[in-house]
Amino acid sequence: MRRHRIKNKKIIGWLLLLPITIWLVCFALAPMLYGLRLSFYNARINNINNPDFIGFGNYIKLFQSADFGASLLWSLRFAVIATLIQMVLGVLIAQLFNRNFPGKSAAITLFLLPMVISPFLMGTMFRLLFNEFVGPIAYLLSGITGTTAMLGVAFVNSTILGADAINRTPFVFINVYSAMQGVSQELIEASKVDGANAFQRLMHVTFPLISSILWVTFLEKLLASFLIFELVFALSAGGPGSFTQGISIYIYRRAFQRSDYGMASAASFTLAIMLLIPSLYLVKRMLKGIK
Amino acid sequence: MNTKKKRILGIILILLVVLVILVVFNIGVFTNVLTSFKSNADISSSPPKWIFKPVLDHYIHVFSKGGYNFGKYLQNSVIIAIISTLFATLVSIPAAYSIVRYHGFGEKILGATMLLRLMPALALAIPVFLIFNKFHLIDTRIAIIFMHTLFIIPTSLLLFIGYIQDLPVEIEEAAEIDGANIIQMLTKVIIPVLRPGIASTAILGFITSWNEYLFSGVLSFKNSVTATVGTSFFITSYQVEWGPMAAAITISSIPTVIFIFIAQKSLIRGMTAGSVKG
Repeated sequence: MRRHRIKNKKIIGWLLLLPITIWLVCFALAPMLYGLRLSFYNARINNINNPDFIGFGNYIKLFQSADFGASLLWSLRFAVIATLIQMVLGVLIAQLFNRNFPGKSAAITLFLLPMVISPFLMGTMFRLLFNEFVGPIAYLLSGITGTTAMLGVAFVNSTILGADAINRTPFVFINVYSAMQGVSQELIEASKVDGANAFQRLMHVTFPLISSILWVTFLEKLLASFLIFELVFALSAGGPGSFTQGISIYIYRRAFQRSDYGMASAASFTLAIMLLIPSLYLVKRMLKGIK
Repeated sequence: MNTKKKRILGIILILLVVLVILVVFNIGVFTNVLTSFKSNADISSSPPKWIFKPVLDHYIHVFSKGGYNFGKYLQNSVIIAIISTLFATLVSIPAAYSIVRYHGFGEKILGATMLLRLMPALALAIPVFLIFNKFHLIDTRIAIIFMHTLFIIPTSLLLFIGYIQDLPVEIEEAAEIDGANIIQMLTKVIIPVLRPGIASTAILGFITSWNEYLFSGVLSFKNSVTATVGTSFFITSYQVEWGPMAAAITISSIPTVIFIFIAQKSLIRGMTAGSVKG
């Protein structure tokens, strides 16, 4: 009887997972395996039903291509700089908000507003506002930059970093701020009594207590920034030329503008493999937090 | 008296810094809304005008331009976002219940959905485009719904796991003694008590779908175009229609902005799911 019930329980537990499993297999696992297979073929729009097997041909071509290397490098540099800027800003602003002042709740709402706007719309918006001829923000900033060509070679990287910081810093802020709210006020008061100043309290009391959340947020942000697509695609489309062509834009152009699906798949799987170990580590950390 | 003065001065200083931060972070959105109300002459005037006579021309143009069906794009966005959220909820609740109460295989599924969120979307976009093309699903709403459901699932699953963990086991045990089977347990016991959680999870799902660009863009060209994708149609190789574009962006942002005002708490819970407890 008992054994029967345990067996039953196992079956029910499995049945409840059936819909999600089907969804993941049909729309994630199966397409990815098909993509992996494609990466070993010369597959273009005209021979997509009957592509030619070329073994590691795409991968070899990829590693010899200067374009691919340059895209990876752009993404890596962007990810590191964007993440550092947003972590520092997010932590500072969270620290600023971690006290009482009138109108605080409304201020938080307004600060989170850029985060809920689609990165694609945000990018399109900044494309207009930073336009060389009609952009009001470009004009405002020209006092500092000396030019309104904010999407030209000299300033386009800074423009993208700025737009992304506006769009994504609230995400860092809200994670850090929620964590700071969890730090006991007594500890802070105690360190105040001991004569610690605001900076010392942040470094020696708050940070050690929220270090795990900072680390997870940092890694999540780093991975997401490395793969940034929508905002850059809308803002500069990888240009001028291929000056801001990160790895995601590189793959998109290969696949959907040049219809070189085999090569684009090879690039996306190279990328997936590079990111697999940090991603698995991050998933493990997050799973530990859920249990 | 002196300390009181010092405190007031401190608060004023903090408010000033907060104000500067809010202006910097929202000036883009604000200026875009301004632009959408400018006449074409005012848009192209240099230096840009900050005070001008507002006109509704671009909003009218957005809805009446030949070959550009913004009303339909909005309708597509609403339908796709609602159905995707519904699917994701129906798939995630039983899965979350299984993970919390039955353990075992479910944790692998949870790990897989989290990994999915971190993997390059383009590794999926290319094969999905080709497969849907084969099945003649390109430019249909259902194709986009299938994919958006997939992207809503990870966060929904995480949130439902949290909500179910917070439920006392006693009500379920009572229902079990009363002879409830698993379907009754979910529909009569779990889902009713989860209702507030389901609502806030749904809001987050709606925003995820509404804001998505890559898959909506790749999988549509005419009939299933969403509002987010449709805003880019004002950029052609001949010209960019700045005014209508600004108006379309403003309209497309309204639903998500409304949600941040009415459901800030649930948004924060959703955004921090996974990392806060890590």
